[in-house]
Amino acid sequence: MMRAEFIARLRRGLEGVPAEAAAAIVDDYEGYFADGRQAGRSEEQLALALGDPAQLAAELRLEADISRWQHTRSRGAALRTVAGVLGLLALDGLLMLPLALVALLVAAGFVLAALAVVYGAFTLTFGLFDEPAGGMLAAVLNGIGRVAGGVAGITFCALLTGLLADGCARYARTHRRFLRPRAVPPITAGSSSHESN
Amino acid sequence: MADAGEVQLKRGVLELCVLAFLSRGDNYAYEIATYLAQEIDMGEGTIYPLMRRMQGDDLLEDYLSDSPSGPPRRYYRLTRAGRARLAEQRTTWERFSRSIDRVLKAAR
Repeated sequence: MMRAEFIARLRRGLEGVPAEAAAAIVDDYEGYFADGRQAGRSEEQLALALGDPAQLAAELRLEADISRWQHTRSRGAALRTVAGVLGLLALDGLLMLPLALVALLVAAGFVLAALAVVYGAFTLTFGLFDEPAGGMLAAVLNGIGRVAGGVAGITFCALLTGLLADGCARYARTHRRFLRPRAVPPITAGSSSHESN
Repeated sequence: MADAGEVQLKRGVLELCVLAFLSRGDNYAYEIATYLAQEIDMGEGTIYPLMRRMQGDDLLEDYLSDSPSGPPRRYYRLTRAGRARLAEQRTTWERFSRSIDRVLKAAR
């Protein structure tokens, strides 16, 4: 793979990253190629040493999401972190079942809680404006109970999402092959200049 | 080839290595990447995510500087926090490696 193709694939993988951050990252790798060429290595060699650009982009994107999540604790960032880790795993062709399962359960929890709120609101309005079988008070209390239960469920699920994001972040940073060298061709003598430092 | 345990171990001290390398003088990413690839056999491209993270943690900052040929290069230097982290991690590392040495010697 040549430089142009590597950069193009990297760019494609960085879609969704804020433009400024993406430009800085692309800059880094452009610089890597420029400096590597100057040190006498071929574009193919350099691309090989960097590894798969799609994988690299996914890791960089995840890194950006994780730091956003850790700094802002915002729900959007939490979801992006979870999605980023799952995306990376899909890219690896590997499935982290436990995390995926918890993610699924949390999603189901959100849906159930939301349904409880809607159902409760329905019971409540029905109780106020109609003549329910068990009497108005019972229907109203029932409705309030369901809405409250649903809201509590949503809060709980939000909490779980946070824990899930933390788990994903920890998994990504400790177990991912974030920094594993892949098929790195040996640096031949003379191709690097730091000995002269 | 490095096994998972070795990768983990290196990953943990990679930040320390970057801090130590930059404490000798500002440098640009390619030099850092090839130096560490050679010294501790890490992937070159994978240094970059670490540099980003360290920059996000305010341990490093970058600036552009003219290069003898071609476009200006992005140089990295340690921040005050980076220097403090280096001192702290160096102490931790030295204490840790002394302990491990003792344990390994005792087991010989």
